[in-house]
Amino acid sequence: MKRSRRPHPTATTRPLLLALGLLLAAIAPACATLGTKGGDPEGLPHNGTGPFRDLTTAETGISSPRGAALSMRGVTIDSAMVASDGSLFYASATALRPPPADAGPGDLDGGPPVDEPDAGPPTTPDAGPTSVSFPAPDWSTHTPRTISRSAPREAGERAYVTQSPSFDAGELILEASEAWEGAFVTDPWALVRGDGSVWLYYVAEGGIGLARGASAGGAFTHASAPIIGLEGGALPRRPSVIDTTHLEGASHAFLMYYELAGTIRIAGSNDGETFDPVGSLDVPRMAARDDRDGEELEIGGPGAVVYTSAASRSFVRLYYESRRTNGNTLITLAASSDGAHFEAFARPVVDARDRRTPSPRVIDHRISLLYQWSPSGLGMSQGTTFVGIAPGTLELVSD
Amino acid sequence: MQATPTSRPRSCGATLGALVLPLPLALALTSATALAQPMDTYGMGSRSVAMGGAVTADVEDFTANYYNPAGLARSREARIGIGYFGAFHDLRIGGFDANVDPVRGLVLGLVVPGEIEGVRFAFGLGLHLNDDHVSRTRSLPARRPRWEFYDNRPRRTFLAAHLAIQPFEWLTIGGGISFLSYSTNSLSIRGDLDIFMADRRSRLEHEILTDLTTIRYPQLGAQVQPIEELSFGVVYRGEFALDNTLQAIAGCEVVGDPSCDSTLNFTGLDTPFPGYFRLVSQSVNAFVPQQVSLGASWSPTPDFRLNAEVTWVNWSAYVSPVGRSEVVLRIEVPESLRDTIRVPDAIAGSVPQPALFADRFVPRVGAEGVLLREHGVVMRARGGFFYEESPVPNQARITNLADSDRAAFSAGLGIRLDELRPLLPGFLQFDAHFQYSLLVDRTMTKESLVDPTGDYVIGGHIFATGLTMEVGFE
Repeated sequence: MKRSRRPHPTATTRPLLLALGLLLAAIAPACATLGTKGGDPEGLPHNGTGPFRDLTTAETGISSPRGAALSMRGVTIDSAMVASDGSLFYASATALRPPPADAGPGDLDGGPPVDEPDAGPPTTPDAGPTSVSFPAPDWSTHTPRTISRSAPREAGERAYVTQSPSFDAGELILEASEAWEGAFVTDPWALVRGDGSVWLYYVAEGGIGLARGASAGGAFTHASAPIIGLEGGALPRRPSVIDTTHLEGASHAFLMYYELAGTIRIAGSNDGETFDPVGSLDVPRMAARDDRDGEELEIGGPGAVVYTSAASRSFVRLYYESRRTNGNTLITLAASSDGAHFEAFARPVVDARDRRTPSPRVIDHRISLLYQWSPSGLGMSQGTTFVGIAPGTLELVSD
Repeated sequence: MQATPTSRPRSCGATLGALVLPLPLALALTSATALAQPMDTYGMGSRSVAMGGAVTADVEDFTANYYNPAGLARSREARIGIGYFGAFHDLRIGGFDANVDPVRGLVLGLVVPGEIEGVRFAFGLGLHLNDDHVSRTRSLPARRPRWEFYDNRPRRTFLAAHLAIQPFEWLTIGGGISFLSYSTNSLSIRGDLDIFMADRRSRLEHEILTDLTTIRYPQLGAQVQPIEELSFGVVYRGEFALDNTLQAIAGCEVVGDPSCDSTLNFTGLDTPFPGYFRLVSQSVNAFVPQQVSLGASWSPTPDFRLNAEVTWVNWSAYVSPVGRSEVVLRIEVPESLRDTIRVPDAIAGSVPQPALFADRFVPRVGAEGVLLREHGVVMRARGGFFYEESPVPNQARITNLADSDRAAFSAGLGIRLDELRPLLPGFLQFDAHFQYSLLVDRTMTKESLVDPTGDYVIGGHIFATGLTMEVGFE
């Protein structure tokens, strides 16, 4: 039997492998040293604490004032907050005439200007001089303040956030009607419940009240009496209420932070209506960065939110005003795991020195928006709500 | 800006002496000790990487220049090896891509054996040359999160020259000098800076100088082969730290100083006014801890080999890259403009932060089996695994040095051609590898609730692959 003589497979592949090897040896050095620009780990990560950058016109869709979250010519906004469903609740009044040219700054309560004798701003016992005035609208030139609600707008498809950071003019939902409310309602703070109903805390002449609504856009029922009245003749201001469900160590189911006499008080409740005193915000005064900051005279205007970190830790972020001896106002922050004992951030989180009543909105672990009031406006308006974003390097993109 | 790197060799005498190598050769080479980083992270050569890097007791190709220089003396052929590898990162911080660049590069080396009066010896050279960056320096702010071991550390050029001897049939020892490159930069600026239209009217001159600096350090190892089927290996790798000092100066510290030629003036107003800026930053940009690897290799049959080893890494000596910085800014603003232009009284710098890393033991295993042995062709399959427990503690305070436990799985294939005459009087070997590393998710929790970085989760994957060719000459 004759066998055919075929070359062994390896005999033919060896030269090919050798050629492959030589080719590799030639290509590898050629590939080396082909430089490219390196990546940059810029901006990672950030938990949205601050500092906040005012959004631009392109980001809010509002051309003037730049960075405004809501702009209505001739309407002065007093204070505003954004609820967890994205709705904007704000107090406002229509300007009837320009403020008198020689009028001093008014106070937040709509009373006489604070630089009049015996009418200075409330201070803590060791707060130092009391002749400092802070810019505020002259409410005597406005209609009575009422509370409105603006529904959230959808953002563009390419936006980071699904809801626009700015708002259209809203619908009236609350005006003073009860005897204890007097002539105005202001300082709204809405707590959206799990069933969609809304508890709306607000301020009127007799103190802090609670109105309830079946939904954010529905009718609200007034409280017949304030849930926190005047204390020592001083009007409590700017209630900010959080649900402590996810807050370990909280003493009550709900905690309220409010301003009283140049301090921030803390009250607790298990039903959202009956509040007991818990204490007050006890943090060191924020030091001045330079002589433009002045020294801290008093604090106020709290805005709280429960933040849950990437490590699933929940804690309270409390933004508040640090009012300075030179009339400036800086926005800063403190945080607490139980809602009662706070650690101060010790630095401003907003560049501007005239912002008030901060209201935080957490978008996710990384991004937060901060709504703030400023004594600037269009036409006869004397107050506007601005919105900032943290991290400031992030740009909201919309179609 | 001036960058002044200086190597900070640490004596390894006591540690080394207590370990394994009280040899004349070792003593001659312990003036400074260190180790290269790219191979620490990704390995060197496809065969060794495919076996999980567990080759301290079983290496004789050109990668012995990294794994154990004693292995050079086991080679009976002169060898030239060349390869290419790439590592691609999918590393995330806080749910976002951390932008860690891929590392690609060329590896090559040679082994030249010889014999003098009956004592075998071998000379070896190994080279690692990164593709994109011959060397890269990064000085990041203290708070900036970064993948500490992957972002910048592997971007070095490595060159090693080793000598090994075989005084007895069962013993080989080796050592040598490795080289690392490091870049230094200096920048100086002078001229006029228009404070209103800086981009149009300023007239500034700048000068940049860049150097590629070399540092040297030794590496030592031994292999013991009591019987044909069994071998043991040990290698000591030392520590080094590379200080990185940056100094940037713009303007003259003393106005009118005739010896200062870098005047910086602010213009755009009626009267120009001078300014002075100085930044000094001192940090450790490249730190490699000392290590000791102990390995064993068992070959129960000619067609199968099993390797295992453990490496002790002295991470507790790690020096944090977050160093000291000082900033001085002086602008002689005219009296009339002091309400408009405000210069901060002081700009805060930074102070060194301790890294507080922990020592670790890294176990490695590898196996190699013959799939085919026929007509001068040998095909081998390989697999390996190692697990690195992260030495980095929870980043509770200011620093954000990200790292998590790493489990690396590797596999490879090798083809060796032995009967190549008359084309080649020796052998030709091709090896390929693939390595997958899982960096398990880890949560960093901050001590302060108002920390601007906050809690974050890190984790990711690394995919590495490579091809190596080696030619042996009888």
